[in-house]
Amino acid sequence: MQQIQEIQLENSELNLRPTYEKSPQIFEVIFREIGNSIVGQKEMIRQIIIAMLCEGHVLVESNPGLGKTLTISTISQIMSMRFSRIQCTPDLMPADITGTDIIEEDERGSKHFKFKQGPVFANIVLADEINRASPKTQSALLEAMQEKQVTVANTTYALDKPFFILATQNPIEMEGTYALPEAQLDRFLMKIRLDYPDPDEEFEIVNRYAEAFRPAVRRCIEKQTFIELQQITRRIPISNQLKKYAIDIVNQTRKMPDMIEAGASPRASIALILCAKANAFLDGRGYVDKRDIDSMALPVLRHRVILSFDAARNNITSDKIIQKILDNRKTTI
Amino acid sequence: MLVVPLLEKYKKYLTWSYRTLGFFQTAGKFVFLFLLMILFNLYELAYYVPGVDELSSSQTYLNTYWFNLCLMAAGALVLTLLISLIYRLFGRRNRFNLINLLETSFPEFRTRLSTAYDNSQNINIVTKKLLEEVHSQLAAIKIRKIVPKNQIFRSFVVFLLFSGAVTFCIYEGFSFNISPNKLIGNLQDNLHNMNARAAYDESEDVVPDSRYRIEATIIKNGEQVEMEINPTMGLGFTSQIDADTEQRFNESSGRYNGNFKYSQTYSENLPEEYEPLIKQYFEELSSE
Repeated sequence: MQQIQEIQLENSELNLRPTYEKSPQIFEVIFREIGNSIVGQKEMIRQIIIAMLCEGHVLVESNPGLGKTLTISTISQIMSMRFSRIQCTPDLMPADITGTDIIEEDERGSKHFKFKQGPVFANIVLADEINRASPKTQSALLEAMQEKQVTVANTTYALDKPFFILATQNPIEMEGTYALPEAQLDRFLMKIRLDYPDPDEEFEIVNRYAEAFRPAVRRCIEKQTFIELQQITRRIPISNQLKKYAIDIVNQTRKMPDMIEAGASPRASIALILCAKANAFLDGRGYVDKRDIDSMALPVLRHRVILSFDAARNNITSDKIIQKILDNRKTTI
Repeated sequence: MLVVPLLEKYKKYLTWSYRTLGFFQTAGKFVFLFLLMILFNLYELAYYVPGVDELSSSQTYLNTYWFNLCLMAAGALVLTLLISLIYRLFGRRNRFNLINLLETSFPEFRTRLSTAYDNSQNINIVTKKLLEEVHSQLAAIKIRKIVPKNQIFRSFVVFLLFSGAVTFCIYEGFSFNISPNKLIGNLQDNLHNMNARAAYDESEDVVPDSRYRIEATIIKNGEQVEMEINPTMGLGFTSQIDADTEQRFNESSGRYNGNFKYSQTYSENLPEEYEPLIKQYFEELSSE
């Protein structure tokens, strides 16, 4: 029995070999194709791909008009994935997201319930302005994120793989919004902060999108290939020393009561190590380096720490605190 | 799987070189301590141990000079062992860690080697490739490069130098004119001198309050008047005041001074006009 398991494992590993060997070219094509459509925002694109490789979800905090929708729809086109968009509003109901049973009449005139899938049944879902949806609707979406399945009228429907949600929220307009609870924020693998492009990038954006011809997007990889890339990501090895280093960074967030009211959870340690693996994989390295952990610490941890009142009053942001932790740990490895 | 046997092979090879280094370092420490003992005649310390004196006089195998040398060698050996033990306790021992050594010697290996080593049992498509890469790089290493040749040579030279110095001192009978007994003798002399000086200074000290053994009291209406002056009022009866008074006493000690009156008491019959004068006198005294 043990022998069979070992053989099966070897076979499954062997199936991944072609994708693993071609992975540097695959990533190069993905980034090149996205770059044809999106100007700048390289860090956001990289972090989105990392989150997708880790089977996680991303919360993007940015002002409107910075190309979030275009980025995510471009990624879905490149990877031949189903894309849907949900514009969250206070009157959006859970059924508007998950779908609902509708009565359908067949040719013989008999009526029966048929499940009509909602927009969540896609590979890539953009939940625009998630903080405008009511808590009930938010939790329906977050349940789909966590479980990768939807339950409607006692029937559970598995969501297609890969499943990725990019939720956005506007950092300025807070009126009429329902802030995401910390427990739900923890379910997002990363929180990305987007800033305005620099003037050169904006010049290029204007050149591209104010013309008659918009850049076409080519389909580059199959969905199955991306699933295999996700499987390979988890296989990237990491040394015990670096695992301890990542855990130590997360632990430090729990040891600063003067600035942090509640530190990051063990889920953050898992997320940090996973993201570091994906970052190493994107760089074409077969092992995790300290730089991978350092570069992933900010997007992974910034939404998982709750600042104390004193810190908030003194304009200390979670980014500053995490950066301070990283600076203090620089000499340890 | 691939990397571990190769590391074991390297470890075996390097362990011997590190043992040689350790031997020379320890031997160097021993000879250095032995040299110090010879130079400063530290064998005298051994004679403070009960029984050593008797042993020295009763044994017939060695003459006193060689017996003392043996004592110093034994002392150096004990000290060397103690130092080694302290180094071991505080983790400052020159511990041989192959992975650390390889990572330090070949920085391009850093992280990759430890990752391969930690994941050598977790074989999958990625770790297999990593292990193969690390193995081929490890195999290409000339392990002789990381043998601590310089350290071994340096320790050997130090050992030779100190050994030469020890041999010279033994055969020439050379040592400094310093020994523990001399130092202790000097120290005792110095202490004695210091005590004597302190005693002399003490006897010279002026304690005016007790010197004259005269106690002045004021009795009014048959009751003793409180003469103590509140310390917050001024200096009170200080040595300075009394030293001034002493001057006057000294002046008058040689001959009779008609102006000076020894008066231990003031009777109640003192004329009334004297009272404010006395009060004023004490007030002035206290305000000085």
